[in-house]
Amino acid sequence: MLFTFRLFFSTHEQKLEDFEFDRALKRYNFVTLKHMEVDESSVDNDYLEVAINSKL
Amino acid sequence: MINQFKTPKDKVIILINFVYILNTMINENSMKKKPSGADEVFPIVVYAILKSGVSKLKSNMKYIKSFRHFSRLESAEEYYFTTISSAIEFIEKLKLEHLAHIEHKEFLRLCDEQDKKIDQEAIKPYLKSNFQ
Repeated sequence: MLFTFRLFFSTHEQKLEDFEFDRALKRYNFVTLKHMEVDESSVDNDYLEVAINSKL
Repeated sequence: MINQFKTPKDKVIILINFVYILNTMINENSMKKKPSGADEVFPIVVYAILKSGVSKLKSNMKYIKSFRHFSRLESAEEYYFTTISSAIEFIEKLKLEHLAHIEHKEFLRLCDEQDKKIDQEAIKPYLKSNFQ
């Protein structure tokens, strides 16, 4: 019984964590390289696109 | 993509490749000046994660931590894994002070705009199913 409760709450907790993080990703989608103080000479758009489009 | 794979090993490989691509990019472009360090890689990893819009990344990280044996998470693997964990924490606790070249008003405006978009997207499926 206790195990079932723990399992139930842990999965819900995990779902909530995911929901909050996914929302944060969408929320801060406006962030640019300039905002992150990245030296733009070290950035190659082709590489960056491959990494971003790989969707992790 | 990471959600399509089941084993912790496969998930780790995807994370490694992601950071590896970014690391290689920085190394190739700054080879003449100086070798890249975590200071250069980290902001780009944060940026790339934000733009990739990957879902359930936190669950995947927890899954890897729980089921990938610690003896297998060594050297490069550990470094890339830690980089992504730090990037996740950074995004979770992101505030205006962490960003450069942006004013308070502009930051709030952009956050509000994004929040509205997210809410509208969340409502869409319910509107479609109930009013069609």
